[in-house]
Amino acid sequence: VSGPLAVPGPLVSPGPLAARAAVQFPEITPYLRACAQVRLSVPRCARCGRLQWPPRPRCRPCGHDEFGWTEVPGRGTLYSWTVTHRAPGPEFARLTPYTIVIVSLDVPEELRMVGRMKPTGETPLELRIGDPMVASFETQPSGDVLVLWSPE
Amino acid sequence: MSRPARPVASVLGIGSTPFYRRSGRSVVALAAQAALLALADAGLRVADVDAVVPVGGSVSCDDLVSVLGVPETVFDALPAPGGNSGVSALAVADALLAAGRAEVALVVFARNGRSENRIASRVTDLPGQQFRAFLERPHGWVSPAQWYSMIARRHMAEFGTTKAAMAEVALAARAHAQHNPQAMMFGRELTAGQYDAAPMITEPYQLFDCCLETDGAVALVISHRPRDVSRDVRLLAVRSARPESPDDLTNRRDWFEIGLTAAAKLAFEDAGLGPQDVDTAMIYDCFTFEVLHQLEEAGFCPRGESGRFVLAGAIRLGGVLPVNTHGGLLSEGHLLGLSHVAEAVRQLRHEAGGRQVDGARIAAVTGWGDWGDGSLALLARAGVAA
Repeated sequence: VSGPLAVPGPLVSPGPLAARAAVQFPEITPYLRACAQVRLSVPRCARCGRLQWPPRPRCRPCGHDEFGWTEVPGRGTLYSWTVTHRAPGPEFARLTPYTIVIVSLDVPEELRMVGRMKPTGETPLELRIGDPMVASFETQPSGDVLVLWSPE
Repeated sequence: MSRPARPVASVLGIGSTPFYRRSGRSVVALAAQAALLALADAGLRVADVDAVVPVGGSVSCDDLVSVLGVPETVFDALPAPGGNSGVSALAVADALLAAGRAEVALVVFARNGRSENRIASRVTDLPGQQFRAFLERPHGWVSPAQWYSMIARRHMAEFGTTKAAMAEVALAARAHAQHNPQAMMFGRELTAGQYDAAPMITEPYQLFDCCLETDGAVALVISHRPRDVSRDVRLLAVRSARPESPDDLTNRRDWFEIGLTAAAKLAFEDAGLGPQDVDTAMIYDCFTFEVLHQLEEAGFCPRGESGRFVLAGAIRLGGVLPVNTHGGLLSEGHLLGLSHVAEAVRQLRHEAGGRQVDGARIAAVTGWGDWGDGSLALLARAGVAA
């Protein structure tokens, strides 16, 4: 367990998110760096040892304010989902219809992450809560690397 | 029933502009009109106002001082923005009165919510923007319809809740609106076939599962001063609370336990009442499923039973708990649920016309906003002991 700057390697793909995070949400930076290196990384409390998500300045169970970062498997189960047919803003129109999933990661803390499903090029898949899901790391035109999800 | 130890505030006046698609007027002008109507309804003057609670940041106290001539020394308090603030504003006003900081509180909501400041431009006022900007927006998860659809899906899977139950919420609201000439959907009936055929927005929500967007204003006058014993509506209790992680839905242990779960329990305790005592309920109906969810968490039916409850006719006029007799956000219009409080007052005054709930004595109003903030107000007809 070590500090937030310990995620090794260069910032592979500094998209606009990473640049803005340095000012607006520095606590997310190690996650974004790990994504650029095709790894899923989450904060672990340096005192109680529990993983938490999303990153917060203090550990919600124990109140401690120091975290290390731990790589976790990009696997989980489907917790909930929606298929969006009407774009909620013009910047999302090119995506519709798109599926957004909430995935419970395969870690004891049952962290849940939200992400878009990787497009299949076909009509949206039949999904069921509890379906096994797997992460993939997709570089966007913006240069950001997003974690997208697919049924395993 | 035990009487609360503190003095009980009353809603002395209500005022509302029409519900517009395009008001063609400034937000301040709308606020002033609703405020003056509420004061006239209360039989009070602008000079009597010594507290202003501008709901949800829609308008400022300074605006009202400038445009209405509210006294410059007025006390102001601003509830957080979001859908919970229509009812949490009552809690703020009640606390100011109870603390002796004011005798007459003016609660105002005003917005050009359709022609000018639509939902997509308002979500950035809500908490947890760092999560929204970096973890959610990049994936296209940005609208309340998308957030709450996730809860609806979970409820469907865990309890077998159906689209038919959501349809019943939409159809009941639309049927009620046919008795409300002020409603945006007055004169526009909705059939089950039209509901089913409507475009999908974000599954499971189709068009008629989603509330309207509206220009307009609502105001209330609240005081400890008794005014007219036949029309004053007593605010027996009002409580507001938050879910476990109010800035984030995703990593909450229990997705169904919301602010309302705690607030309702406290409000019923404060009032010495239970859900069975409520004659009519105004439930914050931003989306159809959220009515089902809140019916359960407020205690009107057990968790998981809301589908059966509504499909048995409970929420219709004539049912065991008529809900949103004005048509609600779904069919009257969306003035942030302060319109729900106004409807509860009309019902308890027995001034609701063709949609009057016979002999209504106790009404409940819920608020819901953000990622599960919630509130419950319990109001009583003048002369009803609690």
